[in-house]
Amino acid sequence: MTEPVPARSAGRFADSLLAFTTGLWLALLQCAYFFLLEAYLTSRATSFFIALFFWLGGFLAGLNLAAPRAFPALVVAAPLAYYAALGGLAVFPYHLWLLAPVGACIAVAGALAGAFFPFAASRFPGLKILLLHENNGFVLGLLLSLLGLVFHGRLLLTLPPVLGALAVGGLLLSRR
Amino acid sequence: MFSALRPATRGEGSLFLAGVNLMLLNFLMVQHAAVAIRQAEVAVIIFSLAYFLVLSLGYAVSDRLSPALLRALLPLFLGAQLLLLLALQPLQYLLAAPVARWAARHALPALLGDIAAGAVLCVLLTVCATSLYAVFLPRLTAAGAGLRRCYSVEVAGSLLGLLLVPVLAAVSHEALLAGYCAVFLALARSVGVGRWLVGATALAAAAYIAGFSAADRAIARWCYTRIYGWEVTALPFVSYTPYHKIEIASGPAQSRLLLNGRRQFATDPSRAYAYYVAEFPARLLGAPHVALLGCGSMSTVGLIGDFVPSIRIVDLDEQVFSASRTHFQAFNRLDSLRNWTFTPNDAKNFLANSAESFDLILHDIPPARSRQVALTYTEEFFRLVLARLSPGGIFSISSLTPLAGDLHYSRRLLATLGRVFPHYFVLVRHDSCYFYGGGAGLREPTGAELLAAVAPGRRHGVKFYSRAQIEALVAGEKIVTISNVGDLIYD
Repeated sequence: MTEPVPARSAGRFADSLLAFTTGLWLALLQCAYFFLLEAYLTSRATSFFIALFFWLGGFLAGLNLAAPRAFPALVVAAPLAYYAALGGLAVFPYHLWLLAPVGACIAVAGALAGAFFPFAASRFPGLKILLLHENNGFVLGLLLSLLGLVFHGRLLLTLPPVLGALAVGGLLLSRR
Repeated sequence: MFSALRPATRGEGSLFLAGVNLMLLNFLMVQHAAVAIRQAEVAVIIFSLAYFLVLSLGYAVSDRLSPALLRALLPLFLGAQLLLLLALQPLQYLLAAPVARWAARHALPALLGDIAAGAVLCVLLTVCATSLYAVFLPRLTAAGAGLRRCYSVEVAGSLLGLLLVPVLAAVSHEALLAGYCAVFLALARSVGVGRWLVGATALAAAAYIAGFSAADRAIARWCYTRIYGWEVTALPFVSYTPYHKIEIASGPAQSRLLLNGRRQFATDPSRAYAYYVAEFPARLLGAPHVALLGCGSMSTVGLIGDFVPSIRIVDLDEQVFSASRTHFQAFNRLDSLRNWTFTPNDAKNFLANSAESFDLILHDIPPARSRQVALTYTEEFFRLVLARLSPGGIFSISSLTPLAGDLHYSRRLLATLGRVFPHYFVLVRHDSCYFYGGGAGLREPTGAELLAAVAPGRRHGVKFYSRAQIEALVAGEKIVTISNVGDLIYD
């Protein structure tokens, strides 16, 4: 897929778009996981705390992945992990023992988020621009998720993980 | 791995503390915003938007804030945040009320008041809450520190904060506030704020925490007197849980339960609701084994407790149950009854995992005004209920919204129930309707039979609808599933 490139090409529209789209996707993925747990496992606060713990733990692990292809690999792995979690909860809804395996899937999504920053940092003159674009995408993703949660719950649970992967994967391929 | 994440420099220490602090602040702000806005999910939306928008702002200005300005702003921000926690509820009222009055004068929706207040609160949260935290990471990496290392230290701080939230919250709300202030002051010290200033701020924070409970109650009394027009003489019970702020507001005539500032159940002297939702179907069945999903004042238990063999009470928040048990004892009589058990769980998870069958399942969960609650008004949820009903058993649920008129709430609810329960009948009294549904084993009595089963003093204004009549009434209405709970919430 792609390798980090020198900062001379920083600030390109494509890089900003990748950061924005990744942020958007991460917000949708995170909200989809929270909703998945709430709708098909339990609404108890512990499940939210555990999910967030796994996300942050995965984020930490993803940040420290040294392999240059870690992020592109996670673009594929994160939606696969999500659909594994969705399938598991569809087959065994409300079984609390699924919290640990679903948590592991959430950690993969967290790792995707964590691996993105070292992957993309070299394309931007300063971290603040990268964080800014990624965060703006996250804000839009959050807004879309909140609408999805109340008016299109099943759509939020099924489509964004694969659509996000296609969009981010497409942007990565276009930069080769 | 964790020892490798120990902050090695003062800058890394600031990042770590910012991570811890932000996690504690998130929890506190969402809790207090939920009370002010009286709608937990809208509070989460407003706070999340404020939080992430201001992160963008923080990133954008991270290299424009001088160290001296940062040191000056930090103690000010702690003061602003602590004041905001107490001021959110009265501010919301003071902002919303005049706009709502103006809207009424111009024949506009009163909701404009809440929207205007929400927007102002969002700006205040944006400015006061999170803007400073975003500057640390870009500043440090711009100064040459490694991204992986710095970001890892900050995330490790967030993980510690996440672990601290449930631990401190379980002790008390003041413990959470104290933890938050302590971490904030350590953060201020780590960026070079002077010892004297940090010491003075610590003293002010300690005084705030010591007086928090009294101030919080006084402000809540002021708000409820103005918002609802109640005479509130005392708040004998106040507790913050991960789900709600629970308050019992006592007045000369009655006590009320409030969750996140919203009235849930008042003590109902005539017990009309409890009679139609619980006693009437219980008498129809004789001596049913009962499951009560959700607990308010639990006056339903008080009405049927003497003649049913068992009642299983299920509620997500154990503290709501405890508060109701203590403060609405005259209505629920739990201390004198011995045939009940309490299960702290959410209703979905309980129904899906329980091996028990119940003759009567009572839905005593508040109306679907939030997404989490609305998930118990969906087709998927009602199928879980149907699976736990014994043959001939009844599921009883009410809607206090008129069946006729512009609002679709009751009709959509009945359409959804009708999709799941093959047999049912509906009682309508004034603006409320009560649905009694069951599986193939439930007999649908005639209207005359049903009216005869109602206690003589309760028959006035009662009308029964057959399944055929309801099907005609709700034809074309949307079915509520987990996909579209918004169609019920924002009807």
